[in-house]
Amino acid sequence: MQSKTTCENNTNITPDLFTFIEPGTMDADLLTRPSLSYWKDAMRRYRKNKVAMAATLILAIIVLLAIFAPILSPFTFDENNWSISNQGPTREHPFGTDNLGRDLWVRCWEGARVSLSIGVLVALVNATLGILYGGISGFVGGRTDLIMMRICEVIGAVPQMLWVTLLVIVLKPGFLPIILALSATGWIGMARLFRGQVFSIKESEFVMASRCLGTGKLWIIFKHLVPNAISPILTSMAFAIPGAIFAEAFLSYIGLGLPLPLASWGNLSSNGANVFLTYPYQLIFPSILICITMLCFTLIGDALRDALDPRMRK
Amino acid sequence: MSHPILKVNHLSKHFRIGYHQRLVAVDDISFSLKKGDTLGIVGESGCGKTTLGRTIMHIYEPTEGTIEIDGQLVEAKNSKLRQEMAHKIQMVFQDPYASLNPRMTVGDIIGEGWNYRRQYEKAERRRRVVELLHTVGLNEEHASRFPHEFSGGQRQRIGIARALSMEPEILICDEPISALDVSIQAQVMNLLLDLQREKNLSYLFIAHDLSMVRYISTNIMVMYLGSEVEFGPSDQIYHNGVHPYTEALFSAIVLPDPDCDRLSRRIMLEGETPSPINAPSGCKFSTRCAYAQPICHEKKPELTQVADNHYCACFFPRLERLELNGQSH
Amino acid sequence: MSTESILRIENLRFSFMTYAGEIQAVRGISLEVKAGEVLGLVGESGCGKSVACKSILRLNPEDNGVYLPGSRILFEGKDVLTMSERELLRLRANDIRMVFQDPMTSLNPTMKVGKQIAEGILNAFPKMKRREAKELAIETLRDTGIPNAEKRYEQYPHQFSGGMRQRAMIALALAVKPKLLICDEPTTALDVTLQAQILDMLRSLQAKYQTAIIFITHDLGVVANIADHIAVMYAGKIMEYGNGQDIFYDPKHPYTWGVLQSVPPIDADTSVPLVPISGSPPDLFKPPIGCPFTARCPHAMEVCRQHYPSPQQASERHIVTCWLYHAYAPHVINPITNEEAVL
Repeated sequence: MQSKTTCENNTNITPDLFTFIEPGTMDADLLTRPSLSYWKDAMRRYRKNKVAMAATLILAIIVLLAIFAPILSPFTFDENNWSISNQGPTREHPFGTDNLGRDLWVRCWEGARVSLSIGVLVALVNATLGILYGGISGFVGGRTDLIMMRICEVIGAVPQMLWVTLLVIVLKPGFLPIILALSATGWIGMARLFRGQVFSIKESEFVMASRCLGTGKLWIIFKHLVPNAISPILTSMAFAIPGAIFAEAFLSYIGLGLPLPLASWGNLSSNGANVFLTYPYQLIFPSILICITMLCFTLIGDALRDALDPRMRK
Repeated sequence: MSHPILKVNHLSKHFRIGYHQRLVAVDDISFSLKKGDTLGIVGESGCGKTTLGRTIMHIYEPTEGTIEIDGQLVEAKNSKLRQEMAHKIQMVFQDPYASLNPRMTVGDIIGEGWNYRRQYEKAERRRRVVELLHTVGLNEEHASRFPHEFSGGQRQRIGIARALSMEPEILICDEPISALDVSIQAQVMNLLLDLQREKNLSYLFIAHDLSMVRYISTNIMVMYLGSEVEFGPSDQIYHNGVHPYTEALFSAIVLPDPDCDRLSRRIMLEGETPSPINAPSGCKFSTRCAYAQPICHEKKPELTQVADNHYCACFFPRLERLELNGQSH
Repeated sequence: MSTESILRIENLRFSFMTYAGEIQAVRGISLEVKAGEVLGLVGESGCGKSVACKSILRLNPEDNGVYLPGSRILFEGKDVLTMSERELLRLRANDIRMVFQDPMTSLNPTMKVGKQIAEGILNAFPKMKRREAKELAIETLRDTGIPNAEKRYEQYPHQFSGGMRQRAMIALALAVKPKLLICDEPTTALDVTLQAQILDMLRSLQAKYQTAIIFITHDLGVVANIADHIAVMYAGKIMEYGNGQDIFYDPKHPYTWGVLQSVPPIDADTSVPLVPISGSPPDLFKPPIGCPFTARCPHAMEVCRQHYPSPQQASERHIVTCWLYHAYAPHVINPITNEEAVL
């Protein structure tokens, strides 16, 4: 057997290279990538998603217009002026006027305020109720969980729109009643989602480890369960907002929307639908706004779901 | 030392499955652990060793039996008692990827116990966290990083640092190296051994790697379907186990030694471990035991002494194996 | 036993193209498997052993992964990487079969076990009659140690216990009497006693069917028991290759030394310390230029950091890639043999 061989092909191998490296000079435990918390990492991935960034931008523009357009306009949303009723889009009235001569541009952006507020508020209320209900049910478990979930199923067995319609009839149409009605059953989905998350995280080893340290229930809920379970809720909220906006529009179509002269995208579309064949622009503008907004939220929701999913981490 | 640091008496843990069925995960286990010793707990899937560890830790409430730490009965009924218990006994978990909260920094994870108790000023807490990081072989800069940035072996070290923060006397190691690569296993094992020597810790070492368990343990307890089948000094159990299951289990080890032909001496068991929900009546091992007699199917054997500090739960223990010298494997 | 080689891997390189960059999973390995031989592929997680073996059947994703030029996988003389779709399907059906770690995800839960095996047989031998295929499937189930094979033929995977599913998966793979069987950690998740049964069964079937086996594992004990030849992989490359005697009694590579020293010796107790390998394997996202083991090697030299060593032959089938065996290298003691480290 040969003792050693030379390396045939490499001529820059010189004997002086064969000196030992001091142990400990090469960091064997090197962490090569920069430190990122979960949220920062999620934001980084979100920002890489060009479609989502475009949708966020468009949504930001819509929100800005909703805030500032009515303020900057010389017209108000309830200013009647029969002389210019039912006019098509002009320079003075970019979206035209309705049958009472009101400026539709201002009405659309006032409507944006209302519809977006309804969407966001409903989503927030649903999320809060859902987290509380689902959290208690999931954390306590056992018979409590069984009963609470059965209640959810009974309520959820009735179609949501039926509940909403009944509640709005009882409470009489208005801003707050609509929010209450849409939240009355919307929280069920969030509750189920959060409960599922709590259930699985409750059994994970890091929660067990925390209990070993002697920590109490509230600490575990707020330090461990909520931060880890919240991601699907955020995604769900992003999808809930367009759902609420559309539900409000639906209510307007069946006559239970916000009372005039208040403007919302729902009742604007509903009124526009009545005169669509003669004055199409009265339906087109609010509808386009609803569609764009819903699309943006949906795209943002998709991107959030991917960004917040730790398994997608590359 | 008049009393052992840990004494477990007739500990049982039952789980209710559905309305009528019961899973007896831990069935009447008793043992004691002397200060500074390591008790290795071995057994295959369904034997209940992990459940045993968690029941001792009071993650699961015991169904029956008592636990004494340093002569005192352990109770974990209220928050104060739980916090006290945390300073006596701690646990290192199996899965390095699931035992650290991914949303918390390493510094927060290690300091959680102090944070909860509002112990120490912020600067002092930070100093202690760094000290623990050094103890387990990591650096100060790791404290502000997140678990996903570390390898399995490093995460396990973080878990050990967290357990040490409470300065416990007893450490339950639940398969601490199973999920790690071979070259990393030795790192963590050495760390555990060094810590044991420095701090005079006592270990319950739950594992299925029989060679590692034999290496680190003073005594070994063999479990089968929730029951204690044999208990004795580590080498005795490894070479001279008298329970038929112990004999089969240790003969099935594959050693990193091609010349060692174990095939001729390997005891092949029939079939597989039955489900713990419908455990066999009488001796639980009777359905697979080559030496089973009618009585084995009817009555459950008690743990009886067969040699010095060596106990076995069998009606017909293979006592002749006690005479074998160490080259039986 | 014939000494012709049925599989020859030459300079296999495979990288995953992620949007963060290129991850070099396999970085140039060369192997040979002769007919009827058992090759053990040992290495830690992430070393590339699974990816390398999936390459043999081209099971790696080819939309975000690429075989770098110069890679060749010759099965009975034909290059798998340039095979047509039809030839590849035939290869997978008849000649090279694979067994995975988790039988639950490898068996179709909605199809009877026997039917799955029979379909595999008919796929490989389309001219065979259904009845013959069924008989062959039952016979193979019996060979893998499943009692009541006729009854089990009609059952679904969920009716099998864990160990039996593993046997069924092996039956599925071996029913067509392939020339090569690739086992990707088939016993890692199993209990010790079950592992012993499965290894025993594999050995007897291998002798009976004369199938060559590539056995991937991280467990040294398993590989000592089942493999004729062993390749030790680290960070996408092969560090050492030899037979059981070479690797366990006369290993040459410091990584092999490190791994053998990390395992407790048979009769030692805590008075004999384990000698771990410090640190962790390198990130294959930016692998080091020279020898990947340099950062963790107790005998690392400057040349190791800068250049990757070429393979050296210690004997006809014992190869090591390490600078310690170069003419210019200083003398070191082989900790396993306690003698000077020479080829």
